[in-house]
Amino acid sequence: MRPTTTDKIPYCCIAGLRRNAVYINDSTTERLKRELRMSPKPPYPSKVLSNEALEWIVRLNSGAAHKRDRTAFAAWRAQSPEHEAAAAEAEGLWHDAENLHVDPQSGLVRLGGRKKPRASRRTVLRGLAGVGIGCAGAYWASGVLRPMMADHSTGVGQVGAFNLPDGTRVLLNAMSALDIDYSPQRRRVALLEGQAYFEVMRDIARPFEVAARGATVTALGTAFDIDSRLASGRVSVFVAENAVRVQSTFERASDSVTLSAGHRVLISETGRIGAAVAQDAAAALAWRTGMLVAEGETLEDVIAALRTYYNGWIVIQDSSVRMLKVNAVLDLRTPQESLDALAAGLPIRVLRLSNLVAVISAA
Amino acid sequence: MADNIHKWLGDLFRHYHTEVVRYAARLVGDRENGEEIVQSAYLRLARRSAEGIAIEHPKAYLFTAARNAAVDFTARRTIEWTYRVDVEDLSALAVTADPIVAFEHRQRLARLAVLLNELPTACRTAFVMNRMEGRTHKEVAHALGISVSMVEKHVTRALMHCRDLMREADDN
Repeated sequence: MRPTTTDKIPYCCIAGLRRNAVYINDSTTERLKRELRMSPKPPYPSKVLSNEALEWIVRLNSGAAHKRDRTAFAAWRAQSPEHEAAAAEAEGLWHDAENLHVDPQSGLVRLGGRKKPRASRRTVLRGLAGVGIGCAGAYWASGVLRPMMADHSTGVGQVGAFNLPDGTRVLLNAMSALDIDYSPQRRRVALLEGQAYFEVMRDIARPFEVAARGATVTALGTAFDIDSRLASGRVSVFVAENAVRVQSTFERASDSVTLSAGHRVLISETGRIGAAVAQDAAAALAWRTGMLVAEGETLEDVIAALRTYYNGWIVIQDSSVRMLKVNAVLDLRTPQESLDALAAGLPIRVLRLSNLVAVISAA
Repeated sequence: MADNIHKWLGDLFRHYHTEVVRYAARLVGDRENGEEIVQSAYLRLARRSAEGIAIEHPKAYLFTAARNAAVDFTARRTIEWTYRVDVEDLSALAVTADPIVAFEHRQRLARLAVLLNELPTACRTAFVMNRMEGRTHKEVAHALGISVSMVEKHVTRALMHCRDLMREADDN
């Protein structure tokens, strides 16, 4: 099944980009490139012949060429079709440079024929500076980093709510992907990425199983949350109602724990199940209302949660700040402000390189 | 998987960001846009990696991606001009009404501009003075204080560089 959400995202939907830019999006560019590749091209003339042809072109345009040089070049290129192709390629290169000009300020080459600079052009260009990135950023927004074959998926800042075939209710957090694999014997889903909250329809004959990284969570009738976005490949399981069985995918079947309501457990990347810790349901499930409640979480885990709402890329530059403990209530829907709030309360500095990249370092 | 991408993109970023931004800014001939070109390059890398394509030499790949992003940026900026600036300037670019041919032409010119900007300054300057400003080798040699044969070498080298990378781009 194709993802339901990613296709519908308008191409350039990032807020805060520079205004008024007309977007020629990368998909057009890519399509045209594909079409070009379909048309077969004759093989290139050898480098040796091509070099000779280029030397001819240089000599003929040196300002010191005579008529006999042109005659000699005409004779040279008439020797074979490959000579002719080499000459044509060299002339083409030389000719193409006709359509370039040099920016007098930077001394660098730009597109467009030579002409006197005008004030209007610079003004126009300034307004257009955002064009390139508008399209680049859209890749991010369309969620290309998530498995494209997932049955359900969400993009940056999107939360998805839907019912599974048995009536189980799923709330999918931003940048998450879920695969469904139901059979008459069991209800299996895989959380490929991100975070999801399940309100499982009771069906004793068919256990409900969620696989996420190193953990498998089994429920009969219950509500629980799985978060696989944490740093270092850990998975967090929180139970809101009743209980679930948490099992490591890596260890023997007997290595499992039963987790009861109001408790949370962390499973390491290698499938090691940690101790159950009591946690407030309102805090653990706050993301369902667009909030992030961090109670003694590490900065890297908080940033991992924020990333899925951020149109761009947040980098933690100093490893020294990764493990900083964070107590905060953040609005996921305004990730920029949330970053600022973190910077105000922690010994960190947030450097924005543009709308798309934020770098966190020690203050 | 996303974590891995974040990690190795992060490593690339830490080690080469400044260098690649400077490179990209030079390629498009505009100091303001280097940052944006490079971000587009990062996203290309991330996309490629997400598609499961192994990237063996991330640094080399990053710089190649930056070059390609610079070409697309340059070509796209040119399209913008056709909407906003007088068209007379671009009549040379609109060689045909066939969108694919026009696209190819524009893409080739954009690549040529980027490749020339990639050249060492002395080499580019010699080429620009000779080809774009229409000065003879002797005049260029005099202006730059180098020998006539050096000018010839510079101009030839510039053309060979462009030829090699134009062919490479066509093959990809």
